[in-house]
Amino acid sequence: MAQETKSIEGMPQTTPGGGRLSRRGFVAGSALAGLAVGAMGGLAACTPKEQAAETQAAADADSKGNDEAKTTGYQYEAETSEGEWHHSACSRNCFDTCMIMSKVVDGRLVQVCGDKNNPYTAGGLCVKTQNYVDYVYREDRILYPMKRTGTKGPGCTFERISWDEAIKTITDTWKQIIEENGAEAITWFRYQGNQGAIHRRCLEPLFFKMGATYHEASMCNNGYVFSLPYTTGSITVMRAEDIANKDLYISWSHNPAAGSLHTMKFIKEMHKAGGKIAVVNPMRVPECEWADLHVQLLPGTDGAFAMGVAKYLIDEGKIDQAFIDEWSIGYEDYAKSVAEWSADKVAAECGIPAEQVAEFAELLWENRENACLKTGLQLGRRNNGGMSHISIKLLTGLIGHPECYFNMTSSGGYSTGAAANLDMFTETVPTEASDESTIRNYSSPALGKALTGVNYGEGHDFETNPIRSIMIFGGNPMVSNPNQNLVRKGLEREDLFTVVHDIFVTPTVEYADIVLPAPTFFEYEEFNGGYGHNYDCFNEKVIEPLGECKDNLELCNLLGQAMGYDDDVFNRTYDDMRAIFLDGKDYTYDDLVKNGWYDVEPKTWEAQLEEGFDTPSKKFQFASDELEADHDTRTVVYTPDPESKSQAPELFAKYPLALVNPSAKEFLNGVFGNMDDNNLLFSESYVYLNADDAKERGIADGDEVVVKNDRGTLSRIARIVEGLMAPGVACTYKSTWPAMTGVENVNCVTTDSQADFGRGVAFQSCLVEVAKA
Amino acid sequence: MSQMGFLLDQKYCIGCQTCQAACRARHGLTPGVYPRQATSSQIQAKGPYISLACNHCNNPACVDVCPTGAVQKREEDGLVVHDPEVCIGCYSCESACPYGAPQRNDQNDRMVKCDMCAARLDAGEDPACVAACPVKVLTVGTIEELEKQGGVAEGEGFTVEATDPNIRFIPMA
Repeated sequence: MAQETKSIEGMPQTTPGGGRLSRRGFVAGSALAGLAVGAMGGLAACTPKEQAAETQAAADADSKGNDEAKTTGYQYEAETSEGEWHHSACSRNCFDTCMIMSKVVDGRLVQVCGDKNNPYTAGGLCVKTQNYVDYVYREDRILYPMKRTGTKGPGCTFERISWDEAIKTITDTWKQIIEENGAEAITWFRYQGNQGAIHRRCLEPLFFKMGATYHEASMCNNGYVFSLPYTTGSITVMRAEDIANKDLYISWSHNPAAGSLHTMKFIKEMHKAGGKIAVVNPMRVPECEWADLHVQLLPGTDGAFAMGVAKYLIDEGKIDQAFIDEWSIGYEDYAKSVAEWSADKVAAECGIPAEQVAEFAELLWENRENACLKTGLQLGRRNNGGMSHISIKLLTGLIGHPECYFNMTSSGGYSTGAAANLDMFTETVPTEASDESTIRNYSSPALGKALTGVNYGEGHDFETNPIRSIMIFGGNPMVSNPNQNLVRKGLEREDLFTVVHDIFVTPTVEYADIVLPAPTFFEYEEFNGGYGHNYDCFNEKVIEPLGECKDNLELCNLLGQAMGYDDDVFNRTYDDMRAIFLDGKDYTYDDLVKNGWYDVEPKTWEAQLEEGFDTPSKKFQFASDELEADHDTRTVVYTPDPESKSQAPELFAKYPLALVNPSAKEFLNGVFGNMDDNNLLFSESYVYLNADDAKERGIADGDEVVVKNDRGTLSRIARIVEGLMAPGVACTYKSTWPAMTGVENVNCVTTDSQADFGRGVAFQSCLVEVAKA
Repeated sequence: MSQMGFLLDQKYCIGCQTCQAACRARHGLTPGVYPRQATSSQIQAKGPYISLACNHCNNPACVDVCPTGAVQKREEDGLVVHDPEVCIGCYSCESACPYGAPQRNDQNDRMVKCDMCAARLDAGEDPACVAACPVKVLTVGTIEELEKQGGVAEGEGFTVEATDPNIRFIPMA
């Protein structure tokens, strides 16, 4: 037990060390303090007063023992002060996109909570964000522009500069690079650290104008998004709230208890009302506590399982022939392709009991009229991820209920094409149909290759004319990107001019030449749309930006104008952005400001059928010419992951464990890794092992171990819980910041290979070996 | 007096620890000081999970041992509340409590504990932990109400001590 805290008795002692709060967590806490001082050189600006804690600390010690004790309970200024409540929306890249109420007193944010009036957020924020007030006023906020004074990487030092100097340094450098090496020697990297509809991409016109090397942002759901057009196109999606009324909820490669906490209450309601739950996941996720069936398959074998289920349904005649006849094409091709997937073959490939194929198929068939088949995002983040998505989606056509498929909702609030001014980008970059490029480009997972001068094919020659400058915003690649050691090698280059716009000194900021201070979403106006719910959300600017923080819109104008560009897009105002977001919406700005969110009614299934599917044939496509043209097969086939026993036997001999690396409940991609609460609750960096695998390696629960492959090494603590992991599978969580945990981030071992669809990431294709340290 | 208590629907608690984080944030405590503590779905990895704070006992040992009367049991609702201005930070309560509920507040060297957010309750609001619970499995009410909802005195990993705690559990089965 850590000395700094006391445990509540009766709490089961669950950690290997017997302590619920890790010692390492506290050590790590001081590491962050060290980082803040070291990195900021004391120039991180005035720390706002810790007001929330103040009232308690200010208790008048002199009066103790003399007064009659008050029985009012603790009184806190944040609660007792008169203030105004405003609507905010969590701008993180998250299914739940919480609708937040923010209380402001005298220009200071003092309290946040979930919007009670919204049925999805329902008054509660998640475990990650209870400390948003602390987050805004943390000492390690970057409040001024800074330039590097020492070496790149951990131990870096910066000194404060003016905005004028920062903008001049950046644009002078860029102008010189463009003159000497052409604009393709410059690029950018962004992801969805800011998921807002406006600020997510509104900086990109700067790079379109320049003609910079194009960055295709593809870190999330490309396996799903790019597989869609072949089967159904965009399609009616139920409301998350409707899960409560289903008869069956299938959770496939998904863990809402970490990544979409607010849907758990609907799943609970469904189960309490007698609904059934089936989980398909290599890991025992919390939903398994309630599940009727847990198919604990080997990672990456989802396609084989889905095809086995299809064969069973076809063989048993449990298919909706009327739907297939009227609404589909390609059934014959599909039926032929799945025919080879007998239950025994599925069992061998997936490492599951053969009877689970029938059990799953029967559950799906019995409840087809009122089911929800939810697929998670990790499914697509592997070498065979796009095809896995297709194989699961096709089951819904077989049973005649494509509307039961639920990956993301479609409120549309997060669309950003106009904010990014995409019309300005007229070059050709790769698509599913063609690799042709008229401009050099890279997809997110290839960042390391792009920065280290690798030539990896047409349009991707980074050898001849190396990248000489990169601007990173809304992203933290030194935490989030695969093959991190290669990314590090790139960012370490002394001849790479790196600009990073961020809120905190992230592991990526440590490599910056120029650091620009970014505001939190409480400090600017934004619009959001959930992809796990159906609400468009308003995020009011509730406080002034701290220090000299500037948002992406302001930054786009400043940089664009300093580059000498006179296009309108470098003179946009907040009014312009409101107009862009509200274009085509059936509510007004005032409506949104007043209520904080707008319920975007999902299209009904009847309406969907009236207009047909959003595919070239207007049908549900079991097979298609398009799939054949782009991916050399008319219908779904199962191809084992290239990083697996059957496809890479020599690699497998060295690294026989499949490592999955999902989201922890405390972190979200590159975000929250510096937050103390989040790290304390996260506790140790574990690697979860199957009991037999551990025994074979002489590893006991709590042992220090090393996770290794040719890409890198991780130090971890072994955690062994009966039934948690499938045999041959290990798990460690992503998103940790090494300065806080004291150990490497999982992306030191993940691959930067490109997934089968959408040039997406393949984090989950990852063979490793685990040994005692 | 209508004694107030907590109710945990343990079967549906998912070990997310949102309650624990919400409690810490509400009290403005240093991260690491947690008047409410919950088991983690990532550490324990298998249910059932539990979330515990002060149990607002009928015979609170903390009240008995407090030398300054800083810990009081309220007449109207039985909440065990604490006045940091009267507390001298002797932590007698910490050792007396069979549930280890009192915590050390390093910001003022006084004890700090769950008071069921008495001030919020008095203002008609839910306690911070209850408001935050994303699965809606943690609630408060009078013991009569909680028992009417099926609450029983002992849960998985929780036994009744002599202090007679006011927490109820919806049984797992």
